[in-house]
Amino acid sequence: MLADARRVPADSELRSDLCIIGGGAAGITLARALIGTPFRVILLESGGLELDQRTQSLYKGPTKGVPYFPLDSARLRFFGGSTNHWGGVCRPLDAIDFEARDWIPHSGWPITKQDLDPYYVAADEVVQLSSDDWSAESWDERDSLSPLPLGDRTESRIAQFVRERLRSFATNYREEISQADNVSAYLYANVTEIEADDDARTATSVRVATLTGNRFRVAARHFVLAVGGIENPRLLLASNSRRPRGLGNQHDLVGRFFIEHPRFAAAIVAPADAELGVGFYEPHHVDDVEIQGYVALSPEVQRAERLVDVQVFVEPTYDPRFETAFDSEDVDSLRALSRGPASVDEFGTDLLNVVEDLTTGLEFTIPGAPLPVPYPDLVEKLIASPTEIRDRIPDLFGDVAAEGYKRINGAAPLEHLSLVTRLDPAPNPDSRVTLAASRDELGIPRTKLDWRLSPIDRHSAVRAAEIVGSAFAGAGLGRTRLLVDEDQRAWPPDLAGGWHHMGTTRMSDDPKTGVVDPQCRVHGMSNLFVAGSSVFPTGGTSTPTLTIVALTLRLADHLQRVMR
Amino acid sequence: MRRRGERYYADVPNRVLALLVDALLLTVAIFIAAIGVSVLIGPAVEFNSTADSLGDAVTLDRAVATIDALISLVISAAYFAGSWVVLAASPAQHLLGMRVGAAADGRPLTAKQALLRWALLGAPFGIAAVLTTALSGPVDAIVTVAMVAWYALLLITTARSPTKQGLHDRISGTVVAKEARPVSWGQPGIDAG
Repeated sequence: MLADARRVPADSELRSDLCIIGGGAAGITLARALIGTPFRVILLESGGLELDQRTQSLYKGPTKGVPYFPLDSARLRFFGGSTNHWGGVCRPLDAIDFEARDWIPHSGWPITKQDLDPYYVAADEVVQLSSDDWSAESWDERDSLSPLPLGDRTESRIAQFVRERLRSFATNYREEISQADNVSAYLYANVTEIEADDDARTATSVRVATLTGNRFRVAARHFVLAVGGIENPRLLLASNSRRPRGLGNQHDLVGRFFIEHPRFAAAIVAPADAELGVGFYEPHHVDDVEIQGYVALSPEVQRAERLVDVQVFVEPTYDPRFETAFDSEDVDSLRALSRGPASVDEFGTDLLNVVEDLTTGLEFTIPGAPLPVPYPDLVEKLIASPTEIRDRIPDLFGDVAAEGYKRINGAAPLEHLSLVTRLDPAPNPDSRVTLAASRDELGIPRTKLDWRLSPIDRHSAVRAAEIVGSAFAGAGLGRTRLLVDEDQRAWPPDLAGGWHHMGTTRMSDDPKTGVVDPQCRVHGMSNLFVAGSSVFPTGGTSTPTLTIVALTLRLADHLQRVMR
Repeated sequence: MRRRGERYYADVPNRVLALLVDALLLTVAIFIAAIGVSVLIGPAVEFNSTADSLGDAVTLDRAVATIDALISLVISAAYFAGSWVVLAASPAQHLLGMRVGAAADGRPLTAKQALLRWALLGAPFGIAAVLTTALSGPVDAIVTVAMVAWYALLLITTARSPTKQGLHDRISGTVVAKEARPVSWGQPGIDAG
């Protein structure tokens, strides 16, 4: 059932077996996993079914440290959460990501990749991936585009994309949740506090407020906090009626160890061959599945060099004429047509754009010839200097022809390659989410984010760029110029996060080093659990959504056992 | 049932196939002529390797291109009208066993008939090429749309005619016939005896 919290009788108390706070990837996954079970589930979602700025502004808060996105634009606060603007990139964490690595302080999960593997398989289905194959070698056998031969110090990895129309969990699963007999999802329901018993060992209820002024409570046997990597610690810290420092914060860990995926260009490669084929490193389709390859340091090199994991995107910058063509409206239309028509109007517009662009080349064909044949001067030039004609394809034959050339040839004239690094930064206790002095419209303290990185992160980015650069040189593929060095104090100006908020309620066996236990239960509390990437002790370099879903499915199994 | 040696009205697929083969042959002839124009007058397409702006890197000399278009028009007229008068078929029609004759008596076309038929069938394409080469802007698009509409009209009227005479055939008083191909049976069959 989908319900409107604004219409719940004021000051009433709703009861359930499980209360899920948050209707994003984790909350929706958990609710779905419990459909058809004997447990009554209430899901509380702050927003409605569409974005509204008043609700979104509840996310506002100051930031300091490494420059970061405004907090109210870094996530979405309505049903479906940030899956509503998700890029759809998926890849499970690697085995080494779970390991405690002595050169990375605070690294190591209390569970292994093997513990999560069965749930990754199930997660593939939840996010609607078409394949559960994550082996770059396996994809390479079927892929017409190949990774570059960069030697044995690096390895290729692939990420898969969820189809664009399947990315929003709200679109995919709203109907299923609204039809479920045992699940009630309340929209416009903002949780302002988690209430606990006197010794703060058991959560008893949550206070709910709507922006229209309605207030009520939800009591439950168990609670799952699933509002994202910044809001999860905010709500624990703000739930301070029983404990001044907030729930689960006996050891001052809630909100610490905030992890993002810093991403910036660490080097530029001048390719030896202007048509070096790097299509493998761009999003492309293999057997109808969209994948993207990237370069990474092998686990052996990470250990030997004592580095954090670094993902290296090989990002081509093409000849400006081709770049202009690839970004043109006509090529956008071609892509829209290849995805399938969205509407008759759009189909017509896209088709006209493509046809009109394809006629560009007719200007350079002999007029009056019944078949399009280029002028003899053009043919002569093509024979004498094929690269000159190739470089002028966008001028001579249009933007669509330039795109077609790249697709058929698997390469286009390059200006240079950027080696863009994405790091799995070392967990840093000073990188943290705290409560700000200001409050939001509902009276909850806003969050203050202080994102910090560590010297090992910079060192790892520099070494990764050097190692991958050496691999390019060793293979005769090009010369590399580093854009970062160890002596720089500031981070590169193009550094940005990936909208991935992790680590702020980290998982650990020991309450002194983590907020939740391996079952995602808040240490010191019997019935309060946390779902989402805030429980990641380290972030890996993979995008987090698939792991969020896998961990949530594992939590669903656990909850079904403990709720019986 | 068509019998060996009999002629029947050539249908649209055969006519289109012949037109495509003719187009190929004609294109080769026009390409050779364009080489001659390039040598005698100068290139139609010029490259400027030092150009800063992309638009200046490749330029089309519209005067030379218009001469090319006019020459194409003349070659096209000579190719089609000439072959219809002399061979009673264009080269491709000849290869495919087709004949173009006067609708009244089946005789080869007179020069006047052949030129009229070409003016209706082949000239619009060439004229459109001349106009779109010499002019630009909205005229270009209007001429192109008009040309496409004209050929669509010819195709539809040919397909719908019992005698497969399109508008161009009816105006010029012509008809296209095709000889039935002999059938070679491996065993005596339904037609044997």
